[in-house]
Amino acid sequence: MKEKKLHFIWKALASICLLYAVVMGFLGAVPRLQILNESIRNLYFHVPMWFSMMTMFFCSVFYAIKYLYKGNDLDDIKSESYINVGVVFGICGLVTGSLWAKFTWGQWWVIADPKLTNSAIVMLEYFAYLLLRRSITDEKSRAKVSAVYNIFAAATIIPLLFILPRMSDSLHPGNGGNPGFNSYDLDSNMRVVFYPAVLGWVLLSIWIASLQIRIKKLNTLIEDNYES
Amino acid sequence: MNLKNLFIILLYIITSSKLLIAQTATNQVEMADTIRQNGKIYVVVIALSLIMLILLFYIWRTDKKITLLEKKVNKA
Repeated sequence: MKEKKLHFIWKALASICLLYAVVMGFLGAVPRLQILNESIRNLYFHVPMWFSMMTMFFCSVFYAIKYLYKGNDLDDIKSESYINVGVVFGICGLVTGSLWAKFTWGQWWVIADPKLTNSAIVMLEYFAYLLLRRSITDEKSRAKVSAVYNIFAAATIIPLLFILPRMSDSLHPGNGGNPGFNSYDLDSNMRVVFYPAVLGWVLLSIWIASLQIRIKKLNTLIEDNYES
Repeated sequence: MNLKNLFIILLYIITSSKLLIAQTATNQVEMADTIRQNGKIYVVVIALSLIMLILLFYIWRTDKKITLLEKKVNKA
């Protein structure tokens, strides 16, 4: 019974944070900046998408390592589910970023921009993970091979997304000599909406992943017990 | 209207116009002020929060259905 109540707390928190972020995201005060104008509010959506994707992928690699260590099938299910949800959030991040780029940089995509290119590479790596899973029919070897690939893919995230863009010229805020959004939301009202938005979207991604995991668990239970 | 009154009025116009120019200098960046002034921003807020509520309700309902299924499978 206590488990149920615990679930209720963080799921309710996610819902409240999301509704707050949506309402205050548009009613709250933002700095008046050239070029960005009102689109700075996209910060409350675009950035949490990537935060959620990162959370999902790091949860996934945690369970991949755990699977390789213990061989428990449930860990493989969790690993796959987190990537499934993470990929969706990554696509949302790309789409919201592209939309923002069209209105501020004038183009849907900037070829040879380090951050953009690297985020596309990371997404392709995880699409490849999904394909890899489908290409192996034997369950045990599928789980092992995809867990190993998972580790390699997760290891590329930090250099690609966080280190390389900062070392080179990039249009993206926070890289290539551009000020990060820290300098905009430090002294204004944006932080008050931004942090709950991040929390809400990250918790929502965990919620959606947990639903997928529970469905898969049920499917394996049914397969083991009721089907020959 | 003698000259003195005219002078005072002219002075008033000049000083108030200077204040107006100062206003536009800080408000130079185009923002969605008009939508806020005529209250249409609430349309945006209510529409988006409705969408969010509907999606959250769908997720919550799916959660409940899965809980029911889990109970069924665990009983059997």
